[in-house]
Amino acid sequence: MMVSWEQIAVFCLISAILALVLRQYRPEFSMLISMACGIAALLFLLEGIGEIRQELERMLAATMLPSELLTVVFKGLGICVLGEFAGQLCRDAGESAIALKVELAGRTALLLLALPLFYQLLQTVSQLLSAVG
Amino acid sequence: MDVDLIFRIAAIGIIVSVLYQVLLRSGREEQAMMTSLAGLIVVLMMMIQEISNLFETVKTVFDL
Repeated sequence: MMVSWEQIAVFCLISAILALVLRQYRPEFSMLISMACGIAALLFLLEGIGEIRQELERMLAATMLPSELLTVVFKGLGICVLGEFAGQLCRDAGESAIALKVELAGRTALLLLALPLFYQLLQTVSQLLSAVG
Repeated sequence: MDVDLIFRIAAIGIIVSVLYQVLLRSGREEQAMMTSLAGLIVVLMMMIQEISNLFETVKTVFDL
């Protein structure tokens, strides 16, 4: 079931009101509500992202580029989504030190993912240079 | 089903805060503390399933 963006907006507004009401009495429940809202909204959005990915794969298949390029890009996107989700939740809970660690872990994973690709690029450049020179 | 989850968490939060106030006023601090702890654990048990659901979905969508 595909949910429209208006529904997500209304859903987030209702969650924000509920979280605001509960914050005075039980702050931990307000954080759990914002977490549940984030999970639900992300789950809604991921269906659309899956469709976008299929479209992009179809486009990439028309070119001669290897398909693992798109895989790397989407892996990086997944790491960013999860890392940012956890980091912002920690920051909302007032734990910006923990949030920083989560984001650092995401950046490390992203760098590990991207470095082989960068190495490939450097190899291509050096091949080109040796061909010219 | 996910909108339902938000409302359930909010309802549990309101009930727990009311119970906490009532128990506090009647001079049962330990039971009030236990009630709020129990409510938190119940909601956490509900959330853990959703968190694992989200992570599995992200893993399948993004090929992680």
